[in-house]
Amino acid sequence: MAIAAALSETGASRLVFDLAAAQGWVLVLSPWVLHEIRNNLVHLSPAATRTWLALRTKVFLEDDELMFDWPLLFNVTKDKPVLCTALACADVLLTLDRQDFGPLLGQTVYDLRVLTPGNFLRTEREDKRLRPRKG
Amino acid sequence: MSTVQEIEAAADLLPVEQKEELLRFLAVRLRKERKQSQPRIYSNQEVATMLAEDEADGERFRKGR
Repeated sequence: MAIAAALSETGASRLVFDLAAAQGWVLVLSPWVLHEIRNNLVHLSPAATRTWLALRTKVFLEDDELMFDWPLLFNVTKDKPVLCTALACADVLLTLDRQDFGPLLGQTVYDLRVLTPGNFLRTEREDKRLRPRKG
Repeated sequence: MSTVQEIEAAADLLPVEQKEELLRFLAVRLRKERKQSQPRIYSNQEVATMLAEDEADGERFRKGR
C-alpha cells in the first residue's frame, strides 16, 4: 500500500495518506514493512523514493510483533510478521498484496479488518465515518 | 545412534522430565534453524497489477462510487 502511495499520486493508497490527518486515522508501519518498502522502491524509481521520504513523515512506526498468542489458522507464512504486528496495534490492515493476503482480503481476523486501500475508503464513506473536508 | 528411529526409540526410554527437557531443546533449536521469512521484492508485473487496482479505486472514490 505504501509502495503504491509512493508511485501514484492518484491511487487510493495516496488518498489514504492525504486524508489521514483530517480523518483522524493513524497510519502505522512496522520496521519489517519499512524494510520491504525501501527494498522495493530502490528497484522501482528514484522519484518514488523521494516521494516516499515525504510520505514517511505521516506514518507512525511500531515495533515488529513476531509472535501472537492466538492460533492463526491460515497460510500467511511469508507475511506473518506483518499480520502479527497489525493484530497487536491496528484496527485495519491495508494491503494490495493479493498473493500473500488474498484469502484474508475483506475478512476480519480477531477483530482486525483486512482491506485494500480502495475498499477501506469505500467502507468509511458507506458507513458515514468520513469527516467532511474543510474549506 | 544416528537415525530418527533410533533417537525416537531412545527418547521413549527417558523419564517424563527428560522428555520435556528434550522437547524444549528441540524447540529452541528449531526456532534458531528455521529460515525466517524475508520482506519480498515485488516483480514489475505485481507492482503494475497493484497500481492498476489502486488507481482504479482512487478514481472510483473521487467520483463518489
